[in-house]
Amino acid sequence: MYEKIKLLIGAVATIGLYSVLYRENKFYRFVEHMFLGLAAGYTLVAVWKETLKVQWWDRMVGTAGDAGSPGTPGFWAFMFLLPIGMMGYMVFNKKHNWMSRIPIGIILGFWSGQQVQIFWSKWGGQLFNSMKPLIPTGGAFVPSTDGLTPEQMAEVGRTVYVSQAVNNIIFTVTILSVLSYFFFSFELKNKFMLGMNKTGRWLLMIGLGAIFGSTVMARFALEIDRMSFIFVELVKALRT
Amino acid sequence: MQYYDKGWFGVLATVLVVGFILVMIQRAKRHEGNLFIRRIAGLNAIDEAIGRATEMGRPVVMVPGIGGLDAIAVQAINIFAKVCQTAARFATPIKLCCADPAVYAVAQETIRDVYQREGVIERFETDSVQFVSDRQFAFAAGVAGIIQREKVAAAFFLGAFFAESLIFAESANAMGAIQIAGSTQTTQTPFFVAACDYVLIGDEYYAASAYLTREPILIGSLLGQDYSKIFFAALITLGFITVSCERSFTKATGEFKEGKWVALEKERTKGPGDTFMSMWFNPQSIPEAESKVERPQREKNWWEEGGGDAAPAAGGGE
Amino acid sequence: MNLLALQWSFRPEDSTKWTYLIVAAIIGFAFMFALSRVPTRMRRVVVGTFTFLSGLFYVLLYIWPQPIDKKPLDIPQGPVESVGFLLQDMVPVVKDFTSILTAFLLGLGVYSLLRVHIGRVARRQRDWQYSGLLLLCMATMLTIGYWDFFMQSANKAVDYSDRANWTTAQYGFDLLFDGMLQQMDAAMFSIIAFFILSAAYRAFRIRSIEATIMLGTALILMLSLMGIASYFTDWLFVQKLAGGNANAFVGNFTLAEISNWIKNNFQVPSLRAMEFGIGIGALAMGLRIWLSLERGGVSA
Repeated sequence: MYEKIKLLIGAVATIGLYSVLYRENKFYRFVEHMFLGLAAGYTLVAVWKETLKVQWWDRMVGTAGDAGSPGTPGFWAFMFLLPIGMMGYMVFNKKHNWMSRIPIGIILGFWSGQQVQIFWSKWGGQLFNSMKPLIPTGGAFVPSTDGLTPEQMAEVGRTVYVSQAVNNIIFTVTILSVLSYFFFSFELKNKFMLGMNKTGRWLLMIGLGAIFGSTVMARFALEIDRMSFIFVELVKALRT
Repeated sequence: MQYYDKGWFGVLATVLVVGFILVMIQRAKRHEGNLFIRRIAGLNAIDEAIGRATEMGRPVVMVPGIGGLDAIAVQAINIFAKVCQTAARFATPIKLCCADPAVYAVAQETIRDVYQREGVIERFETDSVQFVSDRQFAFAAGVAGIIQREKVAAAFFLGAFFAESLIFAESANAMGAIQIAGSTQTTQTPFFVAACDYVLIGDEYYAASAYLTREPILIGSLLGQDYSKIFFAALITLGFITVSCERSFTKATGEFKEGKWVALEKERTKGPGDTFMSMWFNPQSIPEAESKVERPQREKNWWEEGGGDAAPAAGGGE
Repeated sequence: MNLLALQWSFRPEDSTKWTYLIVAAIIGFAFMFALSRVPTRMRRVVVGTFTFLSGLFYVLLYIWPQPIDKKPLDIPQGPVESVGFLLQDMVPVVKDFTSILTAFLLGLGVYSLLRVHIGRVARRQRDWQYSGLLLLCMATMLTIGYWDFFMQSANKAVDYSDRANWTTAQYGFDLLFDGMLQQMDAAMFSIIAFFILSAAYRAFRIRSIEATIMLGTALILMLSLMGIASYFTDWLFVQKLAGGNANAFVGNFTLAEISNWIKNNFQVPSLRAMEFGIGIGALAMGLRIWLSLERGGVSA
């Protein structure tokens, strides 16, 4: 019985949210406000349960050990985070609203420092992978590797075949021209750069289209899943 | 004493890029001049969008993405500050919907400040900058509802957007609103391109504040970014030339194994890992023998007795 | 590490624990009060210093030599290694600061929500009933959520994954979270499929070269992922031409092969180039924020 009610409520909520496809209406508004209320309530539960208790409170006051484990110590210095956090609430105070920038500055400072820290580990590898050999060192096409020894296979992997070289040229032209599309502060006057810029934009559109196409199918899979929830699971549950 | 090799080339490249940006900012500060920035259509459309909202007497909606507080959100709010400046002058109603409390705090403060500086603080309603929900799809449902109920005439979606991007764009479209969007999430850009009137693609997003304010610091930074991109392009060019030549005309005679150069019995074709570019980009791992360091031991703390689980680290607090 | 010979930690059962915490809180709030007295011209400096120090941590973490093979009980040798050890030890603590501070700020968000919706109910504005509903749902979720949480943390011995042990609190929470919230999430997520269709339809009608290139590519990718479509086109064009030869050259022109080729040679490089720009942009903006160079807007 409980499962049936749960499924039914889920289905009604789904239909309510779907009704926005026609246009915004009272049913949608009803479900939307329920959704927002539940989400806010849940966040308030989760913020303690999953963040503050685990990351802050337990580390500040320590946790008592049980059989076998000695427990963890408390570090009182964590208490200093509380007033820093509270400074954020000064945002509504007309005189001291600047203080809300302190916790915000700390959050942004960490983020900024991390950008320097991760810069090369994020982009270095990608740069290296973009340096493709353009001169073929082997035949026209990658041969089939059936029945080759590991050494021979490794040799095939190291050889650049004509088809690969052609692909690598496309790759290199694409990456360089798209990169040139994002030069902002140079006035492009010569024909070559202008052409590069335009090619860059078109090649970028191919790239974006490819993402579009591959995401569409994932979204439809979700849609089908939801429809089966309403039409199959629910009907099955209500029948029994 | 030995330390991990983080790769001299990586550190050098990071320092170079940081250097380009900071030096260019310094130079731009000294020579205030009209530096060139190429046209960015999405940003030229801002006034058009607000103008339309003013004419129709309908609100402008702004969404700074659903990410946490970082430079992406800050940049969104910087652009929104510019939007609000115009909106404040024409008394166009605004709605700024946030999905993160810290972003909300920044937005609240910044936008109030804009109205204050424009001398029309009485036109600012505290609730026009609001926190909707920090749950992705609850936020999407809430904002879609607001867009349709308020019948917005212009919509700005700038920031980190994920799957929900289309919900916003299509809701605004259903209202016939002008949409200006930009996301640093490359996977969402195609959806914005398909659904919105104007889109900031890639780092046009980061160029926006320089474009709108023409402030020397920002323009200098943009110039530095361009030099960094040229540096990247140069590396790729250098890379494909040297990699092509090396792999076509030279043979590998040895290879690195656990940080030590070992000669090969027989010469072979060079693979991607045998080029000197690879040595620049991939720091060698340390040999097994050098990876163990014996140091004097301190006494165990009481919580480290027994189980031997990793102890919580000491220190902390600001 | 015995900085100033101060006792940094205590046992959870220590009786002095609350004294420590209360004193720390008093010092913290006194510091906050002292900050509120800072003269106007120093405010930028104060905020800038906090920002700079936070950023400095990660910058140091990157440029400072990282000691090899650091074990929990090792004593650092020499000043360089001491700093290296300290930085490594601080990572697990510092990495949570952002989420802790954001969690503290959540109250601001809730305040905004309450302000908007209580105001609407109190003034009987348009749609005030819905605002009432929102507040009601929020309160219900909050009550049941904490009821369930405290019950579960008080009775650690009870296995709540077994439904036989459930009480009203667990049923209530399951209904609200699993039965409603999660279902609504899934509904909103799946609704995007409809919006993709309408967006694509509109984009197709704009007859610009760019839109055509983008959606043309999208179409090929979509067809390649649609079982029936790719089966049919491959049968019609490729298999007939190949004439049963599995290694035939035309075998490279199945939809799946073509879409892979597009992904590897167009999507990967064009997005990579775009992300290089974004990455550099983020670094530049990070530097400007870290060094308080941004003017106007956020850090006026």
